[in-house]
Amino acid sequence: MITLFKNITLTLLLCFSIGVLSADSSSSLEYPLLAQAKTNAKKKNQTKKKNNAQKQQVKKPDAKKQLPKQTARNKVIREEIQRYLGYETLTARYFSLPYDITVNSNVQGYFLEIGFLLLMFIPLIFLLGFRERPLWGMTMILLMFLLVLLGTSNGVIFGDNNQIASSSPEYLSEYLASHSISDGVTAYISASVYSITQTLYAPIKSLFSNISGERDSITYPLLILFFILSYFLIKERVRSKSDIYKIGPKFLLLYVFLWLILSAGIIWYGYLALPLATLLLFSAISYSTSDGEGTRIKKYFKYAFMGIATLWLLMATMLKISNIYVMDKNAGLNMLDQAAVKYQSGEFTDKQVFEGYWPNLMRGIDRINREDKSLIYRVGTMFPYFIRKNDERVYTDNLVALYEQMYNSYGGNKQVIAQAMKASGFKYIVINLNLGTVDKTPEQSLMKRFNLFLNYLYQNPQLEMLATDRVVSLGGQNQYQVFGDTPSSIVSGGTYAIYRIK
Amino acid sequence: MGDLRQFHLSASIVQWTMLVLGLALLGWNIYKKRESTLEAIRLSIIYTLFFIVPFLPWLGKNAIESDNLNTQTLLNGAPIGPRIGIQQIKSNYPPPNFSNNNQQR
Repeated sequence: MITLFKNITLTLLLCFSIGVLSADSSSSLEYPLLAQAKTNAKKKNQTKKKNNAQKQQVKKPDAKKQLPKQTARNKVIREEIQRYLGYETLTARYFSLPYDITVNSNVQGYFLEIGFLLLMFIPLIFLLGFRERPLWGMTMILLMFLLVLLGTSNGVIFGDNNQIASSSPEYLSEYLASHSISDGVTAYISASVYSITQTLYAPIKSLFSNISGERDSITYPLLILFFILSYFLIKERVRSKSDIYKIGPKFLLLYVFLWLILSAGIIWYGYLALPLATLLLFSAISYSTSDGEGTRIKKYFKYAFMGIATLWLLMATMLKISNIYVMDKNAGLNMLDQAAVKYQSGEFTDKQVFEGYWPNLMRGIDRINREDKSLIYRVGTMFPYFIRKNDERVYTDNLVALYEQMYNSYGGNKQVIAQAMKASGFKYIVINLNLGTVDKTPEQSLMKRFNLFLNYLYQNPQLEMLATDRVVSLGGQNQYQVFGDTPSSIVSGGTYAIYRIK
Repeated sequence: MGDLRQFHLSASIVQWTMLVLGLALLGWNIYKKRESTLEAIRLSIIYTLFFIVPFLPWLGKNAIESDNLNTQTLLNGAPIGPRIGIQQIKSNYPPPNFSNNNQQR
């Protein structure tokens, strides 16, 4: 009992410490660009606060369900950070995370892929241990069922041509009515399951829309309650086990809880949990099938796990060694990354490899590196790595927040903006041409801002295009340019462009 | 962290409730099992001190570079890249309407 109270005490004090730490947080963990944007916005906010301190009247509108005040900082956070957490109601954002990070509902990318073994087998491990204690087993099933409802109802399906579509009831009905299972096996099965869970989720959704929203007061207390309930579940599950089996799962729970409330669903801030949970999974399976009891269900469970884990390993290995970005009839030829293989075998020099990945890039980089005083305005890309004194020269504005401020300040006049940038020392612009695809916000705010920025680059006499890998049709000929005769004249989308401010 | 606090309207209340509950339970622990609780606190302090030692050079570097003792800058260091914002850009190149206003004045 005393140990239990000590654990709870520790947790509560920890929660307090986290609260204090996050109170003035302007974490620059995510990206330097965000840190810069935050710093600027914060300074601005502080100045504003001082100026308005005397004017402020005590008037509290009902803040619940409303978006936080749309400062530049909040916009950037909503676009850059919140996309990993999702844009559903606040409570659902957190409780759907186990499902979201497993199937990549919120943000898709190989760097977010954690596999499905943990989500699939950890609940089963619990159930296996609660076979003799139906009350705990039923609690576990209920909890998992709720998480499944929340996860699938706020998830996505991979529809036609692997395009990602929302799991809204309207879309699901339309999809199921217009498709058969032969059109896409996994998509059709997912849509069928989702349409059932959507129906079951409807009352919970209604409840959440009443008590939660964009902002609320109940999610933190609910998360803490969830943590305490999970603690008791683990405690009961490992009651008769040795100390190491008691400490490991509890430590993992604490770590996952901290990740949940602090990391906005960004998977790499919780990497330690992945090997820990995998170790726990394997040791639990090994333990439960070698303790002499050897019941039939445990054996089946062990074989099912081994079979599925082997399948997953094979799939993961294929994913790791294949070039999955080229999926055409020559996919077999592209299984291995040719540039990397040729470089390692000595057939390609480093310059040839760069040229293979990003045609013309080194021409632009060489121009930037002729001197090391002028500033570079960077919107995305990883190219600062190749730029001399990048720590002093490269200003990162990945979400074009500073550009929007310049746009507003200079009335959207592209020539004046270029002159203003030049007056502040900027001489080059490096841009990721696919930045808009990062935007997951329902209002597509980043996409709108990025289009403004593209318009700034378009036929701006103050700018000179130095290099790009985009190919467009211009005057009937294919050329390396960012803008063609019409928007539809892009032959190859490309990834980057480098401009010089004249 | 992660700037999620803006979404949680009850964050401050939860924070102070946790402190009160935590301290109350800590007091209760000390009252019931004085020796073992104090031993646990002592060990925690020793672990924390040893944990901090290898981080001290890093914290020192961040404090010197950022010229700030804020928790976030201590942990993450000074932001990289030129420190420039819209105010400085406007100051370097005043927007046309600002110039007009100044001229009028």
